[in-house]
Amino acid sequence: MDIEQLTYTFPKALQPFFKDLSFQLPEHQVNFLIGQNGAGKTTLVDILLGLRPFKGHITPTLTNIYLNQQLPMLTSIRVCDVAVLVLGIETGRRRLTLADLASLVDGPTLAFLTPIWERHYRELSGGQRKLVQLLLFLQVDRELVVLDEPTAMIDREHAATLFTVMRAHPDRTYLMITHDVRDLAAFPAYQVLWLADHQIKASVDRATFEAALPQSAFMQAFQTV
Amino acid sequence: MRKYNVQVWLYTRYFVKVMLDNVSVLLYTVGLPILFLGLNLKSYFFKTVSLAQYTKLVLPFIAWIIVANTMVMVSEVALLREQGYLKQYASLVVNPSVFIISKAVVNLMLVGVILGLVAAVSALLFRVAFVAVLWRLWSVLLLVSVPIWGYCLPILSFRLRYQTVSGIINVVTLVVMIGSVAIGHALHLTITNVAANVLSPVYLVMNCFNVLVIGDWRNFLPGYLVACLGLGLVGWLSYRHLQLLPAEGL
Repeated sequence: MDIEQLTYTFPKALQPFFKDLSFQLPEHQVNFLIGQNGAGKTTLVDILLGLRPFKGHITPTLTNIYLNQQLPMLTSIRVCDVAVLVLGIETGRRRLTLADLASLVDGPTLAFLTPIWERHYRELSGGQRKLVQLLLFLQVDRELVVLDEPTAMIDREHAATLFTVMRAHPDRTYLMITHDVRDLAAFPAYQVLWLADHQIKASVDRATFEAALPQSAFMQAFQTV
Repeated sequence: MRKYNVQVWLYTRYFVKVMLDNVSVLLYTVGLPILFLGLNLKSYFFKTVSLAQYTKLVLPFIAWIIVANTMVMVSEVALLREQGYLKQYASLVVNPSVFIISKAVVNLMLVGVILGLVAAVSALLFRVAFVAVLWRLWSVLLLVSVPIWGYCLPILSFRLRYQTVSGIINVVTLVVMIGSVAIGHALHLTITNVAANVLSPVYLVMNCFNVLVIGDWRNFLPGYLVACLGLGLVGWLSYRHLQLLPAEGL
């Protein structure tokens, strides 16, 4: 995915926030977006999703889905209700049983959802609630999947489940905002984009990232985000 | 189209669950209009009221019930947006109108129940025929749904912070209702007044009920169609400018 000469100005702002931003998102792999709070990560994601008007070119246009950092759901509903909502919307089914689930979701998601299928949201931990939505949304078939800090507020066991599900769909292009360097180790190939000062300051692949010296500007930056 | 309908059905069911989840708010929403109706019209209790009198006495309350509930439904969509819900779920549904149509269906159901209770209370207190009032109130609800959503939808075209949504909704509701009352005082109720039908939801609601009583559709239809098409256009344009992103970036 090529992003060329992207310029974006906030409504009522005089100066553009991003000016002539150009970078690439290699398809069918994970792309990490890092940067300090206020760097514009979510704004950049909004632009890539087509939610903010911009000047420039993004090619090709990919079907996409976005997963928020945290999404409140009604505590009185059950996990199966959330599954019917997300998977029903995607598949056109009005009803969904646990038996149906096996044909609609991947193995790790089925293993995670089965024991909690009938449980109410209020009976789940915050991490479990988040993972329920993340895993269900990851069953929706889109070319570009954008995850906004998916591992914030979930433990590493749940993060590992999330990454297993992501790896189960290698045909997609992932863009993940993260502040946790441990997330990178879960993927055999990736690109890290460092957003700072309204520019993509660095764009490195796994080999370059792992070979980078701790005192390099890029690694120093990761320590601070 | 089938997928769209299923999505509306699923979201309607979810929003009904959300509504039933908070029984105290639901009882307040249903009960408050009935209470106000009783407090304001207690001098007419247990007297026989004609349908023409009923139009003047009760229909302004009906207008308030429909407008206020529709405003609340619109504000709930705005609050979902401020929680980042629209941004995430917009990428899942066929298009964001699924949220609005689902809320409109829930609103129809809720206001339909309230109007059913109003008809029952009216039959008891004002000695009007229950069925004669009920079918007219439900018909009015259907007739004014599109124009009143046209009044309310522009709110979704503006960026509003979570904390300000309720305040804005209250102000807009007050302006619409006070403006309507002012227009009502300035003009006599006549089903042929196109401008009043467009500008005042109170006037429109009263006229819709009135035409169902007197049956003068030929004179009523031009004004009603202008209101329907004009406010429907406002609603459509508002939807075209629907804000999906929260005002405070999440």
